[in-house]
Amino acid sequence: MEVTAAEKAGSYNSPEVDELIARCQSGTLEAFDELVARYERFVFTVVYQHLGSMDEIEDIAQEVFLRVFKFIGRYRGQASFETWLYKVALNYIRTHQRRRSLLGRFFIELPERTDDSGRSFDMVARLADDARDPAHSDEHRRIVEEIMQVVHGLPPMYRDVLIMREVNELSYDEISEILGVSMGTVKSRLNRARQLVRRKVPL
Amino acid sequence: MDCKEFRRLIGEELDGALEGARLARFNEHRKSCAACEREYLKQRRMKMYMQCFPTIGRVSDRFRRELMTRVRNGDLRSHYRLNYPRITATLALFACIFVGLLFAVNSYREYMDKEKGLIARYPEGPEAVQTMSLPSLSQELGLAADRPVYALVLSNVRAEDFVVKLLANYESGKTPERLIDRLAVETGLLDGVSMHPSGMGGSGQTIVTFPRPLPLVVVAYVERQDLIALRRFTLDVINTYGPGVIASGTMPTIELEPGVAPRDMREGLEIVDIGGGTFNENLVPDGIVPLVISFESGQTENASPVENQTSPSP
Repeated sequence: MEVTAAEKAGSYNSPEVDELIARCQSGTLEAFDELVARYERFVFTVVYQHLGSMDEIEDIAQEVFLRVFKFIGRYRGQASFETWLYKVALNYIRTHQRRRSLLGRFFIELPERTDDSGRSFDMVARLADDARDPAHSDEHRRIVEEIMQVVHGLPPMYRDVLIMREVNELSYDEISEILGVSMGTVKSRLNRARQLVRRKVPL
Repeated sequence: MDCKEFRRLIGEELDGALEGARLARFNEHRKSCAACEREYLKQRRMKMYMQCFPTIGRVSDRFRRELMTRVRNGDLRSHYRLNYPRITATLALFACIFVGLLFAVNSYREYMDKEKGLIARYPEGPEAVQTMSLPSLSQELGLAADRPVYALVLSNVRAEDFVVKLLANYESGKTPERLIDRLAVETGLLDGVSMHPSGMGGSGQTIVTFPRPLPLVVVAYVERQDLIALRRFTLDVINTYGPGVIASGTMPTIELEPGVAPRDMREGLEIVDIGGGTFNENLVPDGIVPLVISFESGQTENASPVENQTSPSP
């Protein structure tokens, strides 16, 4: 999350983002379309990084944006829009993970998504190809994958804070805002998470 | 700065939060301690690797098209739906199990209810065994030369318990009086038996006192409806709440009397187990047929009178 000039000027967002949000809040669909285009990669990445797999990533991202559409009126600019969006996404990921628990799997029907022509969408495989992997060598990639596995095996309270801080480089303030916990809690969770990962990954 | 403090500050340093004198002391310790330097480098490497987690490079236009279609159609509700038939079936299953458990617990509780129970009191011990009388079965069975012998082997039930259960069931109206007459009165099992309230705080319990131990084998003469009633009583009361009778389909083994083995009896004698699954009431001949009931033969060493408690069956 970059600190922009807009933040220094009193807003956490750039003027065009603020203007876009205002149009969305007034119910302009074109503005929402633009907002989706602007942040879809961000949401997909957050979902992918916190979920650890491509399964149902589109369904989740879609539900996240639908929540944004429904609740964007509640965004008051008290944090950057990305922070707010991250919070919405993370809350939905948690809901989704509860649904995917054993009982949820039994009692909840998976959505069958179709477009206007009635065709089913299945873009997961293609998205997997589109995932950008900054790890260049095979050895590098192997270690990153190993660390990813360890991170996704952590309890959610440690995993979320670690991904937010180390992967997405959010500030402690932002993490505290998203998780709704104090900064001290964020720091202690982060320390604990680092120790857990360090213990499990031989480097 | 010691190693412990250094390692505590590694995270802060990697976050860029360490500055001034603390950073200087941190770097100084790094140079002087090879182990801490290694640990610092490992954690820094870990941080760098985590910054290399993959991200999503491109999202298909279809995603946005589909999303906007939903928004335009006002289809904002989550597509995840509760599976109502499955939930209903599961709830129904749990309800059935719950009702079944309630029924079982209630039945057992009613059976074990001590408020209207009968308590058997009878002599016990080696002395009682010596004085126990056995009927001369070979002679008695000889009276029914042309008829099968019906048998009920209750190898885990004492005769006294059987009588008390029979009386309790009679009190609850489940056993006909005729069966009491045939099995308990005419066989002499109730001779000298007295019943009186226990007097324990007005609990409503009745003590059934047997003056002497009852025989291990009893011969009664019964009709078809008596056999049917006895079979029902055995399956409903003895089998359900008692320790159980012999498995259905197996022929009972009846020790007629000490020293008299079955081979000494008349050739071709047919024994029909009325507690077994092969019993067919339609094959019982009209008129009187002999019935042999064999009880538990084990005795305890305790010579004092013992008590056993039974309630009317629910």
